[in-house]
Amino acid sequence: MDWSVLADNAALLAHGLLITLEVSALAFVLSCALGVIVATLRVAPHAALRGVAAAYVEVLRNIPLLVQLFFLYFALPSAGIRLDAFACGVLALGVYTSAFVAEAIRSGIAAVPRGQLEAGLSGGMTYLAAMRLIVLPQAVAKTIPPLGNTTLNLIKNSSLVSTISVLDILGTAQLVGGRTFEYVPMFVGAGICYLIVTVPSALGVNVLEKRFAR
Amino acid sequence: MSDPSWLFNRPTLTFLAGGLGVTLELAAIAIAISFACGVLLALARLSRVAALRIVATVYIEGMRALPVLLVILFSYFGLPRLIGIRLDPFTAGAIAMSAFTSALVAEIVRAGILAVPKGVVEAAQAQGFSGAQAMRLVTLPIAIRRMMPALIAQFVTLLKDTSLTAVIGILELTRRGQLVYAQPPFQPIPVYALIAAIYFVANFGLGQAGRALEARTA
Repeated sequence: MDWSVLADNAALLAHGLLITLEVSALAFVLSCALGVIVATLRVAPHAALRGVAAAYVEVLRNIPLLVQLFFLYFALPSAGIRLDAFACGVLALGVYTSAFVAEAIRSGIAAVPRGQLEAGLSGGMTYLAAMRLIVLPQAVAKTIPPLGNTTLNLIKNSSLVSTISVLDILGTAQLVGGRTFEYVPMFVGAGICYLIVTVPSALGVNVLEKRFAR
Repeated sequence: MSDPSWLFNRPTLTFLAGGLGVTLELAAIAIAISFACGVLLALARLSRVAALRIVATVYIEGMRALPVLLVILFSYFGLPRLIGIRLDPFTAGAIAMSAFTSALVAEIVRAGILAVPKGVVEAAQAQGFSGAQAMRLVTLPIAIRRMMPALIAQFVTLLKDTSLTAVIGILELTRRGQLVYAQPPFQPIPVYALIAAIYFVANFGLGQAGRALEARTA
């Protein structure tokens, strides 16, 4: 085993780390936007909307992310829809994670007493206004701890983009490992890169959990 | 495309069903090993021996902070270099899935053990049970019953994660799907739809079973 391969390729791994962060950040934004919409639909006053939102969550949560990613990257082109690997990665990761975000927010909304919504409605607010101005702000506080865990999983799941040739941390480690046959040093290096991101995030999640736990 | 017999014929469906079999086999092996190792790791993390506690904590927290795909690739490409033995993809995949899930099961078990009221353990000890006996005969059975919902949720995740072993060439469901659409008429969309449906049924079913169990034990 030649550990110098790790030092020689440190800059490449660092670039991979940036790609991991970039994919994760974009997917995070997408998952939050979709997650809020779906969570709102899940508690909507119309049964049909609730049904659609529930189906969205269950379908996405119960199909492996890899299958969803491969569908976007390998199957959609046969229908004439071509996205580059990076876009597929962000889209698959964001949509998959949005189901978990929606669940976290829904449980947060469920934890806000119904009287709050009713007070808003009887005060003359529309359903959407009461949701946006009264219920959601309170739900957010209760949603923070499970959202933290979902975000950690998102960062770890971003490693799947390496399977469709995106050179994130894991993709870079595999590329260099395959070229030099020094898999052990490269995977250890990759592991360290992930720990650099996930350990501080996990500690942050713990702090948030303690602050919002009541 | 209009004639679906290229996909819905006996040999192809048998081939895919075999893939589901491999997926379930891999998941079952990993569940069994990770449950046993997870309980041991949880006990080590709660142990009074500092060395055991530190080793278990580092293992659990380290594993939980890494992507499972990294663990799978390391097990297949890296581990043989370290131990000097060639591993076939299935063995490497089973080792990786078990090693990873053990850490997550350990945390569930630890939380379950800590949730058992102290008085129950003290009552057992007052009856003359040794510490180990009280743990094995009183605390663990109570804890395990309470943590079934969390364990089942974890096993749903495990079942989904076995799809990642496709990248090291295990012929499980996802990999076999890829082989099917690599043949004429080269139609990936129906193949992925079918595979997704199979995963959905398996995972949704397991999740519903978990929820039923939760309702019964709550």
